[in-house]
This record gives sequence, structure tokens and C-alpha cells, in this order.
Amino acid sequence: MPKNSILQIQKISRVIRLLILLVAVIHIGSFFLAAFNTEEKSLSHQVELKQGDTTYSAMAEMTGTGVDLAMKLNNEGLNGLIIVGIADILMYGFIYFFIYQLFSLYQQGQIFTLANISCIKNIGRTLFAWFLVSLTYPILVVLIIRFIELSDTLPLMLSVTSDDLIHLLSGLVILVISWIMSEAMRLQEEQELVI
Amino acid sequence: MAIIIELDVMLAKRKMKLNDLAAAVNITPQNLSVLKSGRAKAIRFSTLDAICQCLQCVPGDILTYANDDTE
Repeated sequence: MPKNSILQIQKISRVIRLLILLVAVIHIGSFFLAAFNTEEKSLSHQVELKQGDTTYSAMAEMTGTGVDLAMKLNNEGLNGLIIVGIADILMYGFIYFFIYQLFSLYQQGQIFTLANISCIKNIGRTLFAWFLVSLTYPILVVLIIRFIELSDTLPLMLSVTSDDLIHLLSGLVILVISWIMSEAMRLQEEQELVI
Repeated sequence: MAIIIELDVMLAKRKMKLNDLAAAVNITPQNLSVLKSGRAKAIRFSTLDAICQCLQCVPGDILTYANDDTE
């Protein structure tokens, strides 16, 4: 690979890495800040922090499969945003972590290495797992709530939204890309043995 | 593998060091060492041409074939 391309990858990776860190902190931080700092039980929480003339605002809003369940949990007096949203936040956390790790490796100039491929595979697996979690987590939550007798009126729900299908499709595409990268690594190793 | 690299034999015949050959054919001594030890997967015609020119030999002097089958 030309040296200029590697330098370009390293330079851009540094920026992307910082952006991922920033987005992850804002995203995950605002979720916890908003979810734990409100009296109001709704699916859209906003928290404002005032420091002098500056106001910092954090907002967490629930979308996707768990909305119905979260609303019902709210009606039962529970915090639907935390109970249902924690699964999504956990998945986002994993995705941010693996993408950050991947771009850290790119920043070090490691392009076709086992560590990179493993990161890409993990991103694909997480997205695939996200689809499965979206399907099973609401059922699991309802079963646990019924089991510990917090509520017996919550219905068992199984739903698939376009977000879930996007996770499934992205996961599969990224897994295929990781296999292609494995093949690229094998070719690179072979190329190094061509004199 | 059935293809045997006889580069060390040719280097000995020409009383030449690996590093000198590497410098003459413009490849790294590490790569030439990979070729000499038989770990290389392939050799470019341009490399073979340069080696043959430098060692005043033909490709058959560097690459030989030995049948793996033991009867």
C-alpha cells in the first residue's frame, strides 16, 4: 500500500477516533444523566445544567422496538426508559468501543491485521446480537416483571421494526466484510513471500 | 515442495555474499534470505532475470525440480 495512503488513513483515523469518543460520551452520558435525573416518567427526558451563562442540555428519547413496552412500564409506575433503554445503550456501548478500537489500530498504521479483522467481526456480531436482543429482551423483561410480581397486566410482545432489520442487515454485511478482510490479509501475507 | 532453490550453491560457486547479491539485484537481504531458505511462495521474472544476470547463470541453475514421491 502506498505510504501516502497509510499516512492519510492514520490522520483521518485520529479525527474519527476523537469524534467517536465525543459522540459516545454525549450519547451514553446523556442517557444516564437524563434517565436518572428526572421525576417525570416519560420516554423523552431532558436535563438542563446551567453553569454561569452557559446551559448544557441532555436529552434521551426512546425509539424502536421497546417503545410500546416502555410506555406500558411507565403506566405501571416503573422507569420504562431505563429498563428498556439499557439494552440499546449497552449495544451502542459495544459498537462505540469496537469502532474506537478499530480506528486506534488504523491510527497505528495496522490495516490488514488479525486485530483489525477481529474488531470488524465483533462489530458485525454485536449488530447481529442487537437484532436478537431486540426480539427477546422485551419478552424477558415482561417475564421477569411478572415473576417478581411487580405487575401482571403487562402483555408479552414480539415485534420487529425497520431499525431491527437494519441492525440484522448491517451485521451480516459487516461480517462478510470481515471475511473479505481475512482474505485480504492472507493475500498480503502471500504477497510478502513473492520475491 | 518439489522446487528446490539452489541460490546458496550458486553464491558459493561465484564466491559472492548474499548481501552483495541483494545490493546488485536491488532487493532487501531479508527478501533474498526468504528466497534462499525456500520460504518464498513465488519469484518475479524481473527478480530471476536480475539474479541470473548478476550470477551469470540460467534459471535452471537456481531452481531445480526434485520428485517428492518415494518409491
